[in-house]
Amino acid sequence: MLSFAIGCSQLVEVEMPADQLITSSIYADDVTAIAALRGLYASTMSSTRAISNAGVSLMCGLSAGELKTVRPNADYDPFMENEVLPESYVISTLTWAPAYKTIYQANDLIEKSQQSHSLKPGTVRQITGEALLVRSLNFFYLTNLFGAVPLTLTTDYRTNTALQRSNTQDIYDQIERDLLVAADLLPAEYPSPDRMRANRWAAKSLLARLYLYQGKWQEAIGQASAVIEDGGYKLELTGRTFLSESKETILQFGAVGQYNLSTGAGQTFIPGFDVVPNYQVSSRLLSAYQSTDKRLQDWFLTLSLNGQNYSIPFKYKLNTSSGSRPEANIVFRLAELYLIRAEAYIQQSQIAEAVHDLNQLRGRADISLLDASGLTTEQLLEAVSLERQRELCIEWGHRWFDLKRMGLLDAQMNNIAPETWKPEKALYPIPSAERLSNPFLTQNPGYDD
Amino acid sequence: MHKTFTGAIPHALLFKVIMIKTLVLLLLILCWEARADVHAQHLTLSHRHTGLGDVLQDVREQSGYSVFYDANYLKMARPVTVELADATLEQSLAAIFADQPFTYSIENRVIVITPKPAKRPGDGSGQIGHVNEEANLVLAYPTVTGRVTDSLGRPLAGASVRVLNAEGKRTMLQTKTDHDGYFELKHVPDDAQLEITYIGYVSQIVGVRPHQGTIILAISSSSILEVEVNAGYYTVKDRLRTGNIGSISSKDIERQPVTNPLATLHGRVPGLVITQSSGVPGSSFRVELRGRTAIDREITDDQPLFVIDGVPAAQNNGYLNQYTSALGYPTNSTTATIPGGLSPLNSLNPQDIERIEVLKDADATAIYGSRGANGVILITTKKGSGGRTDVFVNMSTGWSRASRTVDMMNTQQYLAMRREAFANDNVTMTPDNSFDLLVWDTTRYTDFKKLLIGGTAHTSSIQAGISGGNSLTQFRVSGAYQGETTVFPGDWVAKRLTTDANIQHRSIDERLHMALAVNYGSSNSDLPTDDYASAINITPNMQLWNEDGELSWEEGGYSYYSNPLAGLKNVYTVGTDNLNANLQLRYRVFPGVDLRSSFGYNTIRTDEHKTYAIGSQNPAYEREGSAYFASNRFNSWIWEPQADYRKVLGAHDIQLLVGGSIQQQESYASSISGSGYSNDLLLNSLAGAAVVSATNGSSAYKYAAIYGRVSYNLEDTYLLTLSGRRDGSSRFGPGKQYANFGAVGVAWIFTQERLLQEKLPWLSFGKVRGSYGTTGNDKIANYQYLDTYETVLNTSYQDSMTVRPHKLFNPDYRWESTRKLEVAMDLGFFADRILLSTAWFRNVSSNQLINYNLALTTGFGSVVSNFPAKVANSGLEVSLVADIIRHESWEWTMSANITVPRNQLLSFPNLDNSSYYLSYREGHPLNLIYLYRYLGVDPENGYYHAEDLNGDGRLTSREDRQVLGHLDPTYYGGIQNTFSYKSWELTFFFDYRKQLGTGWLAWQFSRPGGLANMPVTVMDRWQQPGDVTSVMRYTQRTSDGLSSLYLRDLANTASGGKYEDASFFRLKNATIAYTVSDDILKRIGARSTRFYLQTQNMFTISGYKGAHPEVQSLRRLSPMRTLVIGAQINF
Repeated sequence: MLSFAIGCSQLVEVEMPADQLITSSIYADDVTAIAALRGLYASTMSSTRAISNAGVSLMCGLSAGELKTVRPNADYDPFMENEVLPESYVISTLTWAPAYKTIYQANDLIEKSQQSHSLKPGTVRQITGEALLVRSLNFFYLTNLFGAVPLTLTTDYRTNTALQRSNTQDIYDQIERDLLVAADLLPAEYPSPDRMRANRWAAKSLLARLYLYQGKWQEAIGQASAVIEDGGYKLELTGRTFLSESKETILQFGAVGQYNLSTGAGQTFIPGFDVVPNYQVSSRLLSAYQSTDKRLQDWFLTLSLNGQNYSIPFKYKLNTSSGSRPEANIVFRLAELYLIRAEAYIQQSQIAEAVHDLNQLRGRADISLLDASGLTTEQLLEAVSLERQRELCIEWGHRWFDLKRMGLLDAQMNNIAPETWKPEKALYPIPSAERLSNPFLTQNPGYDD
Repeated sequence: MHKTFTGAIPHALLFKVIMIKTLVLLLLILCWEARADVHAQHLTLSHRHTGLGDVLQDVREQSGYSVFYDANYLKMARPVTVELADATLEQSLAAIFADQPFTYSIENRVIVITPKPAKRPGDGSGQIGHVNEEANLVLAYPTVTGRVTDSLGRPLAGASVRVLNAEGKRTMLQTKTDHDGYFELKHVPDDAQLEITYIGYVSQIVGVRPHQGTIILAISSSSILEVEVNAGYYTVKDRLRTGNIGSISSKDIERQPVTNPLATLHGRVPGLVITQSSGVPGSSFRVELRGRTAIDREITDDQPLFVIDGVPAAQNNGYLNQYTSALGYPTNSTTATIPGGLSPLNSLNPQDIERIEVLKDADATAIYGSRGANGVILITTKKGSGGRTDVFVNMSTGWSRASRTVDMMNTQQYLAMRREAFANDNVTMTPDNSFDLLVWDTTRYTDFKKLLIGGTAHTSSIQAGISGGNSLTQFRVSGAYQGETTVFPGDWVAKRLTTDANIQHRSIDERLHMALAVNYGSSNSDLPTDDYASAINITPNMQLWNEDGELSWEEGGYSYYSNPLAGLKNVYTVGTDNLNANLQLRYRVFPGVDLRSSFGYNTIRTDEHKTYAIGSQNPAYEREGSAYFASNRFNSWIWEPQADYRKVLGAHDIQLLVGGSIQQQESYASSISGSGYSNDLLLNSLAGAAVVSATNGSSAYKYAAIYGRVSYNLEDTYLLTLSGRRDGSSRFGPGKQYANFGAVGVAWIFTQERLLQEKLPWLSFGKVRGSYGTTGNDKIANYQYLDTYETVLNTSYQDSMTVRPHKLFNPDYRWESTRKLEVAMDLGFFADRILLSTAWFRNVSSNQLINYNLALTTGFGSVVSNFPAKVANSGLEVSLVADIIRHESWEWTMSANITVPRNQLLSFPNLDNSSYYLSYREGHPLNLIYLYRYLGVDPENGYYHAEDLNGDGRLTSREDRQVLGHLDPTYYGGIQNTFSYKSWELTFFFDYRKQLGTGWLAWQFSRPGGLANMPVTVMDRWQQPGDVTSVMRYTQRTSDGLSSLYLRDLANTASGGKYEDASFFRLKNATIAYTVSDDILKRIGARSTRFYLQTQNMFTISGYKGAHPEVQSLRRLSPMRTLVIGAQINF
């Protein structure tokens, strides 16, 4: 009996599974630690229409009236009609869940790499910086889509499962702190030339946007200028802007694995030949362009089927896999930095500088340049809003957020759907399933349980 | 060293007796058992140069006496020529043996044949001629000895031997037979008689002689109380068991034309709920024993342990496939809580199964420890019984159709619905929003239900085998082929080959026993990649073929559904090989002390191949073929050494058992996918793919335990069983791997009391029993206590490998514990012609191991931990077996059972602040319905609505949810009637269940009026204010801006409206069989021939409005309604 008991522990000792590794061994080695960091990017891109893979572009594009569904579409019609329900699969499974999973992964990378005794200091800095940027990006989108959300900053599930919602300001403050650290930790050079991992300028790009959204004009100008002047980026022709080798790109997320090599946007918007597309561009958006605008020619495609014309988004031009990767999902590009700085300059009454920045984009699009003289601040703000609409259309939800941020949303929606629009619909509902799991999570106003 | 034994009988004597008795036994090598009672005592024999064996056979048949002789004697026998008419047995035998080198004796209706003493071999190993010697020996002692065996010469251990006085009354003098069936009684008066009783056998009273010789007891009746029940590591008489063991025998299994053994259990065993996941051949079955124990059954397995011939099944009742196909999702975590996929038990042929035992309470499952926390299902294959070599062939062919489906609208009804929807919504029809009305041909009609699941499946099977052997060695081998097509369009077929071999041997000295059971099954199925039932909602006017006769993908530029017939070009092939082998050895070290060893091995290999042909894809897109290849293997081996000791001290019968289990399971899986095929002909080749990627995985599980069991039996009246064990499992972290559990069972057979026997003669059997015990559970995934990262297929980034966190980890979880209590009463009336068994149980689980549900903000949504709640499963199980008519030519037996279960969440500290605050309520079942109260269709506006409990004008989950019922069956069971008249036998088996289930409203594909066909029941819809209907107004909108009391999916997600009564009463099985009379048989050389017609799921009575109340989904294939005809011939 005794000898049996002594042998017992061996009787129930098992080998590790083939496809798993003990976490501490991952962070004992620079190569596997970096593989875990790449895993963070892979997670952000692992499903089409997740936030980072055209999901925000589609949801917010529909909500902001940039896009319309062509045929009945139970998943996305509610976004177009601004009637998203808390049970929405898109909200919970495609948006909320992958964002928080990515955040968990970023937190794990930060915690584990800093606890490691064997990683090189440079590796720890790189991991921490990139993880902070990816985490910030996800929190930025969560708070802009849902308003107050739980701010999960550790991997402790006991804490994270019962968090209350943090208000947007607290989230912005956290993002600001994190990005300042990240910009400090990250080098100006890319870890790899494909721009698919973040450098200092990516952190500063998001910082610039964050300051813009908060009306911190001077800080926005500072960060945007750093990127524009020191980053070495340059505007490409509109036909080349969305190619993976574009010099305008500050950060892009590459395709994951060997399949689905095209971008989520390409897969979502471009139909097969001779088939009616799922989504078309609204006439409202098309009418924002002058007829000579290069962007109108290069970024949209008109399909003629059965005597009907459908205009579809065509910034990304590939919808299927192919052996090479000419396109990747661009997160930050130089054009947005010019727009950020232009808007901040206007708010700071630095009109000439603002017009200069706006004209960078107008010139590229081959439309008439602005003349600073005789324009009021309101007119200039309108011009910057219009330029943002044209330049950043159907891209990362920019238009939807701009409408909200600039106070234009109610006016536009009362125009489109006066009977049904309610200001509360500016925020999407908290997923109902998540509220079943966390009793401290309240619903946004205007939504039922 | 024999100290423990000599207390009973002087061992020197005993050994002599054993030797002698062993010799006697040798005579009895082959036996023909006497047929029932009355036969003519006068024989008519007419034989010319006939073999002695055949002549003796004739004597046996005419006299009804048994005949025993060594088969070897026949070689020495001379041909017999005898002509006798109306002779006595004595005369006949005298004539037959006149010229033979044998002599005979008659004892207790048994003719024993021995060589004449003169011919006896003179060496020491003499096998014969010992009778006198033995008598001399025994005469030297004033003591009666003897031996009790069954008709095969197998010892009956524990038979009661009582001394009756001259008046035939019982005296205090009594004993029991030992392991080898021997007994010894001292100081027995000359005029006394011995009464020998053994449960299950006809008692005998014999006059006292110093040596009684071998007393052979015949099996008394078919009373199920006398059946030996497999209790796992030991067998026990049903009558004497202290635990709760339900069972089903081959008789009931053979009648059912099903391929999966689990399908035979529907409604048969109290406390056991079997739910079929779909009607696709090979699909899995969910098994729930005594209620839901897992809080989170999607991830934690709460199914019983499956043990096949002593070997725990390597994949238990999980699933074998890695890919999704018509069989379903290979996961337990479907929202319907029905596991999909390929059932591992599908490779076991039900026709090879002798018995299935279901161990339920603490006492019965104690010996399996934590592995049996949710009960144990023991499957035992058929064994040879010795005697005449039996060759059997069983052939059948049959037809199946989907059993209960819903009718969908035809084109006119569908178009009318769509037009009404547009009118209701005041929306103008355009080609984009109503191409089915404006662009597509509105005169076309395809009945997709008929097209996709309306076919007839054909089944055919043939089984052949041989069984036989002698008293020392028995064998049975069989092989079978089974083929089954589907009701889907296309040539799909599921084929299976099975073989089963069993051999048992015991040494002449009875000390060594060996049993080997080997079962091998190989299956191969070609199935669609999707269940076609999921496509019956396609709009009925969709174009399937274009003008050129090719598959159509669009009409007028509009495509909506993919063409279901394109799926015919995609094939899912799955093959399995399942080998199960078990070797059991028993060696008697000393009388009463046995050492046993059981070594078992189970391996299941599954190979899958799934192809997506270019031809199955819409040519509007860039097309390329893809192919998937997967294989996985589950291995399990187990070694279980065991020692047991039995001691009979007068009326006291004590058995001790100690043993250990060492078990190891491993699984390996790999999956390779190829894409970019340019030609469909290359899809079977990996080299033909442009891109190939692969993944693999493995896991291991180890389990070790030591256990002990003491059982005490006083005069077959008072029974006590104690068991205890220490279990270790690799699924726990260091320091938490081991835990102790124990159980106690008691029983009192009160009808053994003399007083009761006299006062209540009609009460033939009465037993009260009870058990209590604790058990653990380790049925969670492996490695959960480790903090790990994983590699995932096809997640490279920048063309480099990535790793990611595998899960949340919690190193602190430990064994859960379940306390099980049971009290039960078993009664037999009128010589056991009516048996009534009633059991009440209550199992309380605490610290349950679950995947604790967390918010998604944690990154994963769950973590393995011990659940803080207490859950009770209690229930009442009643079963009745009645021999209503037992007449010479007529028989009618009935059996029925009912289970009334109750599941209750006893306590859950801090429930309202946990992630389960809207899932559970204290005092209610886990499967509760805690939703808004559904109020049907609002007559005012035509939308579904629900009750606003607090009247604040909104529906809020905390305030307005109500407990509306639960999804556990309220009661369930089965009723069987068997009638036989002469050669005919007719059996009806009904199973029934009272339950709520997911209703048809929840399976509406979209709201009625959208771009999908609907069941015709939808036509009962709201049209104008004041209409009281069951279905909302037609609408083509996918969202409608309604909120507050009107929710888009109210009927299918948020309210009780998604559930409806899914009770059913079903003719599960009906069989009619005819056994051909002997005369005709002899002409074709067959011993017996049986023709049968069997039906399965012939009809289901249910008010359920969806398709099938068991599957509860409009989008999965219903179980098959099957009719089979066949013949069984024994040679």
